[in-house]
Amino acid sequence: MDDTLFYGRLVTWPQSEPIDREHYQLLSAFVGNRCQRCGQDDRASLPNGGFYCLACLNLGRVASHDVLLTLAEPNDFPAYGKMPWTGQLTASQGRVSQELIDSYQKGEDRLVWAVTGAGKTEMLFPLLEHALQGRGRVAVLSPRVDVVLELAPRLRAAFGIEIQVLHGHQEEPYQYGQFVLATTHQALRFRQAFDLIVIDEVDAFPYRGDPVLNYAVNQARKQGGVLVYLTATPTPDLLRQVRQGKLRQSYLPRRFHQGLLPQIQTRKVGNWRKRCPQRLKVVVLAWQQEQIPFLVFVPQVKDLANVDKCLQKVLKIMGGTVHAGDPDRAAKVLRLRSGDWRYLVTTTILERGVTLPGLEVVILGADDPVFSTAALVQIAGRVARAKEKPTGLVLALIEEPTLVLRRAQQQIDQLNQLAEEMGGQS
Amino acid sequence: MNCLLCQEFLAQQSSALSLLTGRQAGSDLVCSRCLSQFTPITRVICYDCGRDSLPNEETIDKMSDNETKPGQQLCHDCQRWQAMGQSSLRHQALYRYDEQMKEYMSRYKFIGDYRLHLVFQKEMRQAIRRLIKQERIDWVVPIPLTQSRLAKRGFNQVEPFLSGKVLAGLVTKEQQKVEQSSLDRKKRMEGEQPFKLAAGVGPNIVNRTILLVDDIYTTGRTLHYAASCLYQAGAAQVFSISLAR
Repeated sequence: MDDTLFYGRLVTWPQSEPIDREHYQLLSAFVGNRCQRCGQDDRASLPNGGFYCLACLNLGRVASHDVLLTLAEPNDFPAYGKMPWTGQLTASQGRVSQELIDSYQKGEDRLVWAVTGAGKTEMLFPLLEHALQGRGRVAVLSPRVDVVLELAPRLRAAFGIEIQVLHGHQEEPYQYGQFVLATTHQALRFRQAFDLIVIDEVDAFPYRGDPVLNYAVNQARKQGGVLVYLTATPTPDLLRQVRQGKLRQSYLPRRFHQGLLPQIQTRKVGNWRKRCPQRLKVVVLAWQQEQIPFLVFVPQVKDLANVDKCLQKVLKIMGGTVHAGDPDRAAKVLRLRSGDWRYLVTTTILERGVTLPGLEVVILGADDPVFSTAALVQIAGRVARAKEKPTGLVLALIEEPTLVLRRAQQQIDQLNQLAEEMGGQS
Repeated sequence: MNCLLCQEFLAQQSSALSLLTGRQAGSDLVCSRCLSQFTPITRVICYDCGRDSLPNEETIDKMSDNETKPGQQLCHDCQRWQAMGQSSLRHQALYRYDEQMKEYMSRYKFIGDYRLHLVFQKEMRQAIRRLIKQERIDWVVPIPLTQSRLAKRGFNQVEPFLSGKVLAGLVTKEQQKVEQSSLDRKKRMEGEQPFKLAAGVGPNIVNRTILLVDDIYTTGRTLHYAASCLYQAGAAQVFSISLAR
């Protein structure tokens, strides 16, 4: 077997299969009842008297009759020169970027609180280049496969090296490489591999509060490896770590075009599942008139068809619906991007990652518990991202005002205030 | 918890019985939408392999006898089996081997999520019990796994489906290592007899009626080999059943 496939990896191996025990580092699959890949005790039994881990089953089964194989990460990479990317950072992006490099050199973790649309990806480039030049192995992790797929070509172009893209639905086999771009879950397959791990949207499902992924990221980084957390809506837990001085923080409250985050406007409507709200019709007709692309967020998959039907009744433009389990999701987003479609009715799945100049949104049933504070701030962040049009409408249609919604509005205010205060810096 | 097939959230709908006994049923693990996407085989068109549809290019005129009713005919594939001297299996399958069933098998068998045996356990056991009565079956014999595959997987996927008097009558020969599902039709048909009789079961087979149980009937190669192994040992009649066809 090719040794490079085991560098810094965790490979599940049945004990019944022959293996060179001198060559590989062998780890038990379970210590006590705890899975050694994901650190959890959540098991189902097998009829052979053994058991297997349920917490990380989607990455392939770890059973009590398996062992885990690994080889120490040798950082066996060719020297890296300069990245082809020659873009310019704004002053505040440049400041955060330098803070990140300093942290990396000191071996400290860092949280970057950047408003959506601040250009946080570009801001990472100097740090990633620095790490690559030092032969560090780096990983950029994102909770969503859509974001990973969108980032891949951008990163390839920026760095001019092969990037290993890993996610649950891919067909190509794993290959050893210096730069890994993956969904957060894939970190479970690594062990002491990375000198630098960047976790994008650390607040997002499924990283937040998921003990599996906390464990995974800590397993995947080398001893002395550095974590960078990126977020637009930091979790209370991360903010606590910052207050306690355990985690350094960089702020980036202003969007790259210097505009502010649009505030969420709320309107009370009746039971919108029963009757399509007049307010919704008025807004979408105006968007149609002004040729503005838009998203309609709904709480549940089963709302999609009804709302789309109601839109189709009043509109002449084309559009469609998407949800997490939709196999054509990527294609549908492309149709929206290309202008072929002018709107999408969506569940929270599109709350992040989709950027489209001039986009505006309406959140139908924004008082439904599926819309968390972070989700609402993210949704507002979809809007007003273009330099040419740095404002836009974020409309929440609700039956009753909620605290969660209020908190989201407060967070937006807070960020915008911060941006005003730091205005001179950017 | 989430549905084990589509990963969508599954509202707990446990019955009072399962709450009391702690025993789980298939519907506790898989959502009703996923369950409804399996295609039961209701109208059989070939009595020997239990299929309910023909491969795309074949038409009904390739069937043995145009005049007979569906369910009393022999499909092209089974005619070939008989021409090769194989005996009849009167195979029955409960579900079509379509995308949904493939997804199920990949999770149950290849990923090895043993919990999923619950989804079809009850139905398979019922079907087997019905056949035992109807055909006066003496022994229910599962298709065995190779030793190394069994060691890796930790279970034989048909084991939970068995009912009645079970006899581990067949074992695999040592050299057979290739997974059938990794081969195309031609390679499968060329494969050698992978089974032999388990030690000491000979006397139990002679003049007995046997029901073979497998998970999937694809070309029929596996089951026909297993059946001919049993016939050689003196079995009177061999029937077969699988979850999918």
